[in-house]
Amino acid sequence: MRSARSWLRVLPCCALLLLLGGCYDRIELNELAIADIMAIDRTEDGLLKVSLQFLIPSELTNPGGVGSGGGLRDPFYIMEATGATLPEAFSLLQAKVPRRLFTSHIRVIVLGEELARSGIGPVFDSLTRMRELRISADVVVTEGEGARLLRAAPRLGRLPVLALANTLGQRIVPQREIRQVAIALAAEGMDPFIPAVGLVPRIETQLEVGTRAQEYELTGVGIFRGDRLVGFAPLDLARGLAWLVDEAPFAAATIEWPPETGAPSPQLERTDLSPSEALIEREAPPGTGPGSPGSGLKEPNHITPLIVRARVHFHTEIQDGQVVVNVHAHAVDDIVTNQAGLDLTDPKVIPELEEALADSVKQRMQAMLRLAQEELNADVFGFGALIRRNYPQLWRTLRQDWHDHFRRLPVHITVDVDVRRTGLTGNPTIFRPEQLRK
Amino acid sequence: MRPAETKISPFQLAMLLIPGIGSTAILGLPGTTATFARQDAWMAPLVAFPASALVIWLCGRLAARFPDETFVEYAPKVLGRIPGKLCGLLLFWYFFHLDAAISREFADFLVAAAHPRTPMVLAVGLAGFAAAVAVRHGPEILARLGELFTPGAVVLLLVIVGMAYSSTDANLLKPVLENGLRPVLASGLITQAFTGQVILLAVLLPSVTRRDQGVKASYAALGVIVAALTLVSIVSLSVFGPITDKFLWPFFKVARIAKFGQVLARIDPLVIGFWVGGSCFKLAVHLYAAVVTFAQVFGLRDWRPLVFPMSALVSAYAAGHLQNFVEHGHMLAYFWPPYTQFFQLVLPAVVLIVAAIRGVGVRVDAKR
Repeated sequence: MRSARSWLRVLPCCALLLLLGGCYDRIELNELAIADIMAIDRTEDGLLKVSLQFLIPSELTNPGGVGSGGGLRDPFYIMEATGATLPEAFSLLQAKVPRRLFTSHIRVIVLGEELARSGIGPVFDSLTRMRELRISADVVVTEGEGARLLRAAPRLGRLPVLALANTLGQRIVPQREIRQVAIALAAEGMDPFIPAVGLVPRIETQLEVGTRAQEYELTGVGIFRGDRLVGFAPLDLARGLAWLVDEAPFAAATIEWPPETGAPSPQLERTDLSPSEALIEREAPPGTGPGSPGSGLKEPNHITPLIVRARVHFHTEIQDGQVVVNVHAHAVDDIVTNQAGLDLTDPKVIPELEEALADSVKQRMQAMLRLAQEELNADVFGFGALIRRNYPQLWRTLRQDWHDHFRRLPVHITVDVDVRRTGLTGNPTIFRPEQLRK
Repeated sequence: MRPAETKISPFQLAMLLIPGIGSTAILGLPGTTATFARQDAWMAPLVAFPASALVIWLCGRLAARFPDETFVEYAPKVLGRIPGKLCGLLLFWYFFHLDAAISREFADFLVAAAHPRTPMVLAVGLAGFAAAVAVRHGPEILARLGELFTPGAVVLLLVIVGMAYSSTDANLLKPVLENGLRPVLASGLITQAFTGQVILLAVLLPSVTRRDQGVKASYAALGVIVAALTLVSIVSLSVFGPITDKFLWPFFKVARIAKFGQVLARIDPLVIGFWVGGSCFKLAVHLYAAVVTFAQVFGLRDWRPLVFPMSALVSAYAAGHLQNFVEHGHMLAYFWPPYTQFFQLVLPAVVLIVAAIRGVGVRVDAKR
C-alpha cells in the first residue's frame, strides 16, 4: 500500500519529463523562412504576383568576400508565386520554399504600378486581416514592376529592406503605413497617397566596374483616387504634399536672391542635380566679372535654408456660401548656404529673406495643389475630411460628388518663415565686405 | 462555507472587480461600440457609467438591508419562497451564461491572434481548469490574485497608450456627435452590458469586511473601469479612425503598432499574456459567483465540491453553444445588451422595491 502511494508520487515527476521535449507543435527559428520585403504585382490576366524576399541569416554573419572563399553572396533570396488573392499566392509560394513562410517581419510592401492602377482595395483587405502581417509595415509604389525593387543591392547595408526602410525614414516624402493607407481608403473625403520609390544605378568605382548595382531612390509620391493610382507627383511636388499634410520635410529648398517675381524657374530645384552635373558646374571656369566670385556658376545667387521645424494649420471658413480652406504654414529655418553674398549680419535683411523663403514654400505647395485639383482630381490632403470635421451638416450635401467640389475648392495658403540662425558663419567667408549685397 | 465567513478588504474588492469586469471589455468592446457610434464610441463608457453606478447602489442598499447575506439568501425572504428561489436561479443562470461567454471570448481571441491551430476546446478547457483551481480556495485567494494582477495590468495599459501616442491623430475623433446622440446611447447600452457586471456585488458584498467602505470601493473600481474603457476607445479611434470598427480587437492592433522610438516595439505578446491572465481571472470570479448562487439556491452547506463540475459545464457550454465567432459577435452586439439588463438592473431593483414596500430586513434609516 505504502509503496503504491510513493509510486503514485513518482508518476507526476515522470510525466514532467515529457515537457523536456518542448512544445509539441513548436516551430524553431531555423524552420522559418523570414520574409522582409514583399512586392505585389498584377499579372496580365488579373492575378496577383507576390514576390517575397527572404533573409538568409547565416550569410549575414559572414561578411562576403572576407575569407569566405565563395565570393559575394547575397544574404537574401527571392521567390514569387501567382494567385487570385494574397493568401492563395502565399500558399502557392509555400510550395517552393522549404521552410514555413513567416511574414511577421515584413517591413516594406511594394505595390507595382499595374496593381496600383487597377485598385489596391482588395489587397488591403488581406493586408489588414492576416494574422502575421503587421499593419505598421511601410507601403511604397513604384513605376513599373514592383518585384524589381527586391533585386536592388544597396551598398550601404547588406539588406535591401534596411536601406529601403531607412530611405523612407529620412522624411523627404511622408511615409505611409498600411494603417494610414487603410484609413485613407475608408475615410470620407480623403484619398490615399503612397511614397514612390525607384532604382538608380550606383556610380561605379574602379573596384566595382561592371557590377551595375542599383540603389533605392525616392522618386515622389503615387497619387490615388479612391483605391486607384491616377498619377505620380515628382519629388519637388511631393515635398509640397508633405507640407500640405503637415509632415514637412527636413530638406533644403533653394531660393534665388534677389527674389524674382512670378514662378521660380525649374532649375531652382537642386535635389534633382545628378552628381555628374554637379561636377560640370564645379569645374566651370571661375567668374570673369570683377568682384563676382563664382559667377561662372549657372545660378550664382542662391540662398539655401534648412528646415528645422515646421507646423501647418488648417482652417475652414464659409465665404459667400462656399467653403474655403485656409492653410497656414509656419517654419523655422537655418540658412546653410549664402552664395548670393547677402549681408546676413544686418537685421533689416532678415525679414526680406524670410518673405522670400516663405514665398518659395508657398509656390511649392501651390504647384502640388494644382496637380491634385486640376490634373489628377484626388483629395490626398484630406480636405474633405477637414470639412466633414468642421461642418458635418454641410458635408452631407458635398460628399456625394466630393471630387467635383474638390476640383473647385478654393484653398488659400499663407506661409510664415522665421530665420533663426545662419549656420556657422555670419557673412559669407568668400566675400570681401564691399562685395556684400545690402 | 458561507460567503459571509470569508473576509476580503474593500481595497481587495476593488482589485477584484477591476480585472473581474474590465479585462475582456478592454480588447473587444471598442470595436463593437464603434460599429454603432463610429468616432463617438469613446463616449459609450461615460453613458453607461450612471446605469452601472445604479447597479452598485442597488446592491449596496440590498446589502445594507440584509447584512451578511447574498442575493440568493435574501430574495426568498422578500418575495416569498418559490419566487425568491426562482430569482436566485435566474441570477445563477446569468452568471453561468456570462461565464460561458467570457470563456468563449477568451478562446476566440487566443485562437485567432496567437494559436490558430489549437482546438478551441483545449483553450476553453485549460482556462476553465485554471479558474476552477483558483476558485476552490475561495474569494480571498481571488482577491489577493487581483491585488497582484491589477496594478501590473493598469501599468501595461498606460504603457501601451503612451507608446501608441505618436500614432494617434485627434482629428480622427471629429466631428463630435455627427449622427446625433442615438448611436452613442446604443453603444452605451452595449457598454452597460459589461460595466453592469458589477452585479457581482450581490454575491461578493457579504464577504467584504466593511460593507459601506466596500460599496465606496466599488464605485471607485467602476470609475477605474470606465476611465480605462474611455481611454482605450479614444486611443483606438484616434489611431485607426474609420477602420476601428472593422477590427475585432482594436486595442490589440494598437499594441501591435505601439512603439517607443527604435527602442521598444512589438509588445503584443505581452498583451496576449495579460489577456490570458485577465480572462482567466474574470472567468474565475464569475465561476465563483455561479457556484455560490447555485449552491445557495439548492441549500447546499458547502459550494466547493461544485467548482470542478460547474467549470466543466461552463466550458462545454462555451465551446458548444455557438457555431462561430460571427455568431458570438452578433449575439454580443444585439442580443446580449437588453438580455443582461434584466439580470443586472431589473432583478435587484424588483427585490429592493418589494423589500422597501414590505419593510423586510434591517431598517436602513435606523442604521444611519
